[in-house]
Amino acid sequence: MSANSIAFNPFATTVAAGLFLTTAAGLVAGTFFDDPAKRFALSGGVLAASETLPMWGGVAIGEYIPASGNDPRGSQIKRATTEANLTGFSVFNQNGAAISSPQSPVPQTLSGGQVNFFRLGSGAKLALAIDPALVSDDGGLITQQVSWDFTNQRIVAYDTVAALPIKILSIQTAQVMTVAFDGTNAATWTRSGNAAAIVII
Amino acid sequence: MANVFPAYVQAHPSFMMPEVVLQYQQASGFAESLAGREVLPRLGEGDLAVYGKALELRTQVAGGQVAYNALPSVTLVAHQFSTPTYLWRVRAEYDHHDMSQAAQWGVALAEAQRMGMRQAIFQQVRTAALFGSGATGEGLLNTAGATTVNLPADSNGNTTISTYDNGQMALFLLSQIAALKVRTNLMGMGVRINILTSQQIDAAWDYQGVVQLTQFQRNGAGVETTAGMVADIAKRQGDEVTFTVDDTLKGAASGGADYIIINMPEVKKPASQNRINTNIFADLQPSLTGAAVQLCDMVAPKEIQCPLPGGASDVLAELRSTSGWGIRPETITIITATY
Repeated sequence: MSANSIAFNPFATTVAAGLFLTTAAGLVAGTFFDDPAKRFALSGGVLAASETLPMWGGVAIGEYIPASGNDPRGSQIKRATTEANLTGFSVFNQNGAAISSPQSPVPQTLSGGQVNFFRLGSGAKLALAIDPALVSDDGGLITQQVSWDFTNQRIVAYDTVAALPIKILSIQTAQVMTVAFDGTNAATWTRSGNAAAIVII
Repeated sequence: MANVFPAYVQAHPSFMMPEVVLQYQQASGFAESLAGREVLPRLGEGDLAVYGKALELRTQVAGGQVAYNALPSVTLVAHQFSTPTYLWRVRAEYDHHDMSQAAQWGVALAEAQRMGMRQAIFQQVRTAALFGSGATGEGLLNTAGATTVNLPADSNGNTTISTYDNGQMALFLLSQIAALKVRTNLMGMGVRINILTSQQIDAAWDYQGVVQLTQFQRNGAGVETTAGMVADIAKRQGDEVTFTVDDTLKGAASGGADYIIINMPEVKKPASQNRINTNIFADLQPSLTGAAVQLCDMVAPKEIQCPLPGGASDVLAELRSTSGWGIRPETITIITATY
């Protein structure tokens, strides 16, 4: 089954909570830091029909050559399942076609929709969700080995299998917005998450 | 339903008092909990739901003695929120015989039915404002993310309003107001706070609850009531505290306790008189100040009259409204307290 819906109950009541802050200093996981050089590495692709979950920013993806050999919309994008098929990270940037609803405010792409992403090797600087335990990396080299949690879509401690090709520049635990997914089709913002500013290498 | 105006028997001679003793209902203070002290008449008559837009921001900045070029950026995140609307309708039918019979009692039936229908609709709007219309998250009392507090014991171990130490009651209410202002970054700015509860609790605060004399000087000790002390101290901070009542809150909480809703219906934009304003983003554009709102299509029900066969009339009254909508849940504190 394809990822073909986002949560939308037209008769639900929702509110605008979490909009009183002391400071706005923080990160939104799944976003690209504006950069005039790396901007042109932002690529687009199509979420594969075989995908069962919608796509949002900050997810590890695998990029596949179109089955037809060429597609003006770009490559086929699937969620990466292991480091072996991880070729980049999706981002929210410039993706105004991703859809949201009051129940599912995080922009999501469904199968056949556009996914914007940066490839490994692009050198793009992104904010990605991270396991808060990795604040233990603070003070260490930016090249400390880490891995990716393909279930929770976040950076985790090195699993001794494969190191993620990123450099961690900072780890932030305040005013960080990350994505909480209900496992089906609703993605909401968590305002108490943790994220790292990283550079893809 | 029916118009029950029977024939009546009297002794003659006699005198009939011309005035009717009317049933009075409680005029609820629920609207004082809403932004602008009123429902917001913005809906079209066919609007099925209401959507709102929110904009969030996260920032990063880079610095150094001299310039470098790998810089961070800020992120803007927009999202929407929603609530459904409900169409409240009621009908009246009567003919010239009904009107004639009511006239025997000195009552203008058409107007009595009209006011009765408004009463029916307005009460339902009140219920929707406080308790919602049945679905999750509707009504101020069901606001997702609102702060909920059970009345803690005073220093003597009393946990009910009628036995609570009056001065400590006032300090408790003031602490809730202060916590609300701290949550919303509005310390130092005067705001409007409404406290909506049952009449019996309000009576305890407004009448019998005179603040006791203490070994130390306490505001209003021996003179002022709980409510007076709260209003007086909050006023010094520029706050306007109003106490309003609605007895549908009486016994409505679990265990037969009463609800007390402390809320700030309108938010102010935290402002700085300094050049460096750490809330400068809020100057982007005019934004919604209503923190608790209830929208409707018009402020009084629409009435549609239609003649029926046999000389009767049909009058239909209808009004569309949302439930009470606590858009900014940080501005709402719901206290549960036994009288």
